[in-house]
Amino acid sequence: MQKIIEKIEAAQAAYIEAVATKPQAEAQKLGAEVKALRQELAAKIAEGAVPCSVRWFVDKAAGLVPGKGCGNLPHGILQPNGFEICCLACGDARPRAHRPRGLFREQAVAAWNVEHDPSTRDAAIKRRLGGVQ
Amino acid sequence: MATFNKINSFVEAMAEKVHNLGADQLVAALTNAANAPVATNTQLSNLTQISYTNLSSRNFTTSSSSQTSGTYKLVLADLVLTASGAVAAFRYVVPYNDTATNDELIGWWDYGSDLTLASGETFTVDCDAGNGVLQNN
Repeated sequence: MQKIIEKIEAAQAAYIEAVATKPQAEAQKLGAEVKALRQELAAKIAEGAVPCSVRWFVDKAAGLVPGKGCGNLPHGILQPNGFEICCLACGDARPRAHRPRGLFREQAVAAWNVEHDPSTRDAAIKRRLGGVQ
Repeated sequence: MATFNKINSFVEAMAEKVHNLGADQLVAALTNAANAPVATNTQLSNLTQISYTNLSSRNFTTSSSSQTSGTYKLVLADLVLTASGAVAAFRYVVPYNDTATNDELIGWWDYGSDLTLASGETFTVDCDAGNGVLQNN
């Protein structure tokens, strides 16, 4: 993962220099490389995560309630103090403290999977609804 | 969580090749309560920023710039500002595009009142990965 991060930093530096000094088409090409590397990093972080199967949304009367997820693979984010797994398609109405994070990426993926794997999902939802919403 | 407010010109700039949010470097500018950003501001030079002495990097890390089913979403990692000494008071966090020609502004978060950081203290800009910093549909 560190290698991808270093590649992103180098690619972004090359892109920023190109924006100021090179033809637009060349800068755009370098920009696309930065974006592709970021997608590669996100996929690496989320490796092993199951597809999104639950979407939390806010109901005026009931508060946070679970609904059906979108089925897309989640996105991994390198946060300042660890890793976060989230669904870019669904979004998440829950407060930050309830989104799957971990000091290590495997922890974040495991936390995501507990909530989205059909074999553990229902129990996780029950626990969530029984606790702080 | 602080509400995100949009700079009016940002939507036009998005459509006219000012921004490439998938690759450009976004940075946080900080202003205090007496120098609030307004929606008609357009670029960094419109703001009166605080002194950044004793403050860590203000660079955002972009995680994703993409669309799903026609809805665009910009996802940034949280930004942790760390003080290595006393930092001037600030209320507004204003992301701007440091790669764009005129450091064009994107929007701002209002934290309600002036905040101060003493040495060793941190301030986290929670960028809400699930919903993205901004959406365009």
